Amino acid sequence: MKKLLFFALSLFAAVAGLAAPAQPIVANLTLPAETVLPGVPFDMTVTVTNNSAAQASVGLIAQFIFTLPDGTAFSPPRAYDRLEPNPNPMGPTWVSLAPGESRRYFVNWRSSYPNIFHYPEFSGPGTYELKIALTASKPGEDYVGEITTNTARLTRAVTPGEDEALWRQMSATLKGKWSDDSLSNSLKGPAILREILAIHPASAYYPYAVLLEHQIRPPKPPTNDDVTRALAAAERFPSSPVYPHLLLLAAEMTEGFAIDALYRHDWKARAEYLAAAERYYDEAAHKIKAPVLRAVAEQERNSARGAIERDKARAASTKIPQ
Amino acid sequence: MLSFALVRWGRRLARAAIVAALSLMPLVGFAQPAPITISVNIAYAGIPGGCIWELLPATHSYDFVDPLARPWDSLSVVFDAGYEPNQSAVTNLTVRINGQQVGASATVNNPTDIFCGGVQAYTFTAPSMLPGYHIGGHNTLTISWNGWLSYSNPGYALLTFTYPPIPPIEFNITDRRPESERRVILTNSEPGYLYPQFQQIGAQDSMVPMYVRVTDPATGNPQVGQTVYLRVTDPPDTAPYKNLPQNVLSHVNDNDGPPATIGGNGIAAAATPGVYQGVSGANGKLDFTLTLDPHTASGDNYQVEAAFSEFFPAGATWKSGTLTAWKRIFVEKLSALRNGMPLDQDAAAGDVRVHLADNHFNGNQNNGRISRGDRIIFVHAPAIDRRNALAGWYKEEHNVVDVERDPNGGFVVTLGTRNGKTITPEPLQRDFGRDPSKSNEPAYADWVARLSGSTLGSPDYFDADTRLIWGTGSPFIDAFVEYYILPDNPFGFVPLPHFGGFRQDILQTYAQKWSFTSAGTPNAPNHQLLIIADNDTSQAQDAGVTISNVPGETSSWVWRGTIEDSVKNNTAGVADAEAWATKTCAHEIAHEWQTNGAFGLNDHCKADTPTYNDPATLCLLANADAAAQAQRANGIATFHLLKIQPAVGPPYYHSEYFGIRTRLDPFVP
Repeated sequence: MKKLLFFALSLFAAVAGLAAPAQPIVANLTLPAETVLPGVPFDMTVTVTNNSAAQASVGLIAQFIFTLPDGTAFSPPRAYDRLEPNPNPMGPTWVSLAPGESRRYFVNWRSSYPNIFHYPEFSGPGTYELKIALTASKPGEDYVGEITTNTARLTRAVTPGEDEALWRQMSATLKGKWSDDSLSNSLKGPAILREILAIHPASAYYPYAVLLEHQIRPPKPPTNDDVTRALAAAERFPSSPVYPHLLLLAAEMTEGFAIDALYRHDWKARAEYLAAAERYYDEAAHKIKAPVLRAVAEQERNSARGAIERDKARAASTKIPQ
Repeated sequence: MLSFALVRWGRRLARAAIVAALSLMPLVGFAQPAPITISVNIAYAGIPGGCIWELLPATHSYDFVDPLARPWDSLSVVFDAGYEPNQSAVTNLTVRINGQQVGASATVNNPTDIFCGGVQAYTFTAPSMLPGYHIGGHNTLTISWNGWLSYSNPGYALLTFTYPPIPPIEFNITDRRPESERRVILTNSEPGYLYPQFQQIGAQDSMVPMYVRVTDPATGNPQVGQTVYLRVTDPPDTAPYKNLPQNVLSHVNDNDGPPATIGGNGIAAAATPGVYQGVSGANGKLDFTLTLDPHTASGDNYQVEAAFSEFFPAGATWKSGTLTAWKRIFVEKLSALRNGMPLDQDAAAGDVRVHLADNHFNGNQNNGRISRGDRIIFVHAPAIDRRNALAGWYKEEHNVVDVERDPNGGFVVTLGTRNGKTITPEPLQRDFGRDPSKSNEPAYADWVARLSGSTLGSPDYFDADTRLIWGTGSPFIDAFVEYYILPDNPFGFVPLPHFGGFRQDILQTYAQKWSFTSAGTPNAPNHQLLIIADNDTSQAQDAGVTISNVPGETSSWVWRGTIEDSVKNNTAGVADAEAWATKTCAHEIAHEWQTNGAFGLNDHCKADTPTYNDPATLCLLANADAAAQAQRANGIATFHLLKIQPAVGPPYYHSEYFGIRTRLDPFVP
């Protein structure tokens, strides 16, 4: 009887397997930091892999599907985002993968916020489940259709004391409607951000404040002090989820100085800033553990190196090679 | 149109007369100016002589100056005419002044001889002041007809004006003046744009200099030293949605905002609250200023009432014309290129090579790649944080002589032309590259696009008609909002890169980078930003978006590219892209006012919400469904008027008109 039951179960499992053929492309969602503070953005990495024997394409437009702590589903219909890297913003919204090929993408929030971080529903303490549906606009013929990642677990927790008091203040300030972008993208959040910078240097929110201050509107040009402060914050909070972003921010601000120097035709300053930017990107590439952000650092380091070489060529000859 | 004239011999004495009967006609004791008649020479084409027979339809115009610089009660125009013998009666003999018809058209059925014998007088009468008539100024008399008209040359049209009695207290602003002159702009944020006629005298926001003139009723002479009492009254609202035949919501004292006040030199508060007093000065004149409160709603209207007693006895008070509060909004409209890609490296003036991460133009070039022979344009805007703002916005057009793949990634494009083996380089004249504020965000970089012709032309960028925002049919006019579309950037027209998307934070930042007025931010009150672009990368087939995720800032985007794509592929059942885009402009600008939050539908009302005046037409902000989609190109931009019964409390009316009108001025997002 037991044997018969085992056989029956095995047969059921086999039939069930036949009924649900493997997806040609699999998307895997990972959260580099599975536990984050309430009320701040967090990293998401999506790895897409073509497990089929043929070329296939998958969409890179993300729609986020949360399960809230009380078990209800939450997926705002207009909170799409385009996964990055995305060097040509108006280019295809899908990627075509060769058989066996795998690529990593991420949700970028360092320089601008995805719409999803404007919703307060998943900002408070608790444990959430998250998966991402991937779609495309005007996809090619080998498009596999909408696929959904695995479910990742996100825990939002705050330590008692200063951080907990800050979170309570943040939540109360927006009457329980605090969202992950509120520190810089709300009418009252920036005041709390500046308060954190001024009197809460030990708080786990501090490195976030350093990073997100640059998204407060209207934007103001950064200074060398901002670079120093970003690097110092990274040094003091090496285990913070925003650690890699602080390293990249310092490099990007320095690169911005170099770009600005070009507009001023100050070639000496440009050379100095480009060299510093290359150094910061290189250090970031060595220190960042998250592969997808490390790849960003490496690419930008190479870009800075290329700019240095072109500037040298420009300086060496007024006659540009034809 | 064929038009010619025949001039025959024969002279007829012109009946030239100026009749100015000076008869004093007292009415209830008020002085009344005598009627005045002036003659207007209607000589044919400035060539006197003979009797004119002229076949048309014909139109002739003659200038004359208003004789008394006072509003008149009635006007008659008389002149002699007939029709040419052997022809048939002349029809549609019509007189207009400044385009406004005077009386009814006439049929001329009396033939004349070659000397204009047999002409008869034809009279045209305007029983009340004509709209657009220039009191004390130059006006244009126009005569038109169909057929062979016969009239003396020179001949004279006699214009007789009659005038109403002069009241003891007379305002300089009366309802005889056009409504547009009696507006009060709450905040005028562009000094180059004049205030309405009367407000321009003082040229200050929310304030109108006015005066009354006190006249002796018996003699008509100015009265000096007479105490006059003034107060502000609130006449019924004139908006059409508040005066529906079946539902009149307007009434006296229906303003939403606080009362207006009266001030000025020599103006003091009287003992009765809300009453002011002053004493008439030289020429019987008493100057004062009407001032509207900062919380005034557009559409609130006022009349100043005057009397010789602070108790304003019935039958012994006189009122000014109605003045109405208006908002004034300036729209910065930007147009995006139809294809393009960002530079991923910086290029200085003098460089002949630029670097791109990708080689696809996208947009209307689909998968077209940048290649030799392309005619391209570079566009530049200052950094997001404006650290390099002085250089401004600029563009440059070039030829591509070569494109090669960069072994380290991306593509290198060389600018110039090739003739045989000879290459003529085209160095950049200006600097182009990434944005120093956010070097890692391609959208904010300078872009390059392929041109469809030898130079930038309208086929290269998106555009849309904005008339439903500012012109006839605009719902904002019915909300008492004047809209003006600003001229191009003072740096010249520079189209935006081909960029769109759905991340609102990026869209808003991008919009601010390319805006030259800071429209859509607190730095530019009463300025709104409208961008005509493409959202080619979105799977959501929205026709537009207005940013709502960025507190304190906004911009309106019309996805003209998406609209054209939808029309081309018939995915929405709408066939007219231009009409759809035109209405979408009004729809998105309406979202700037954020009037429909109560419905929880992203600032829309429910999909089946009709307009206030037609149950078959959907509100401009009705949520999108098939029925609403079918009306996207119907050219009707009208809002709803809903009676809402809350769970607790009395019913109330909801309308986008009310939301717009009552929003605090000046507008800031």
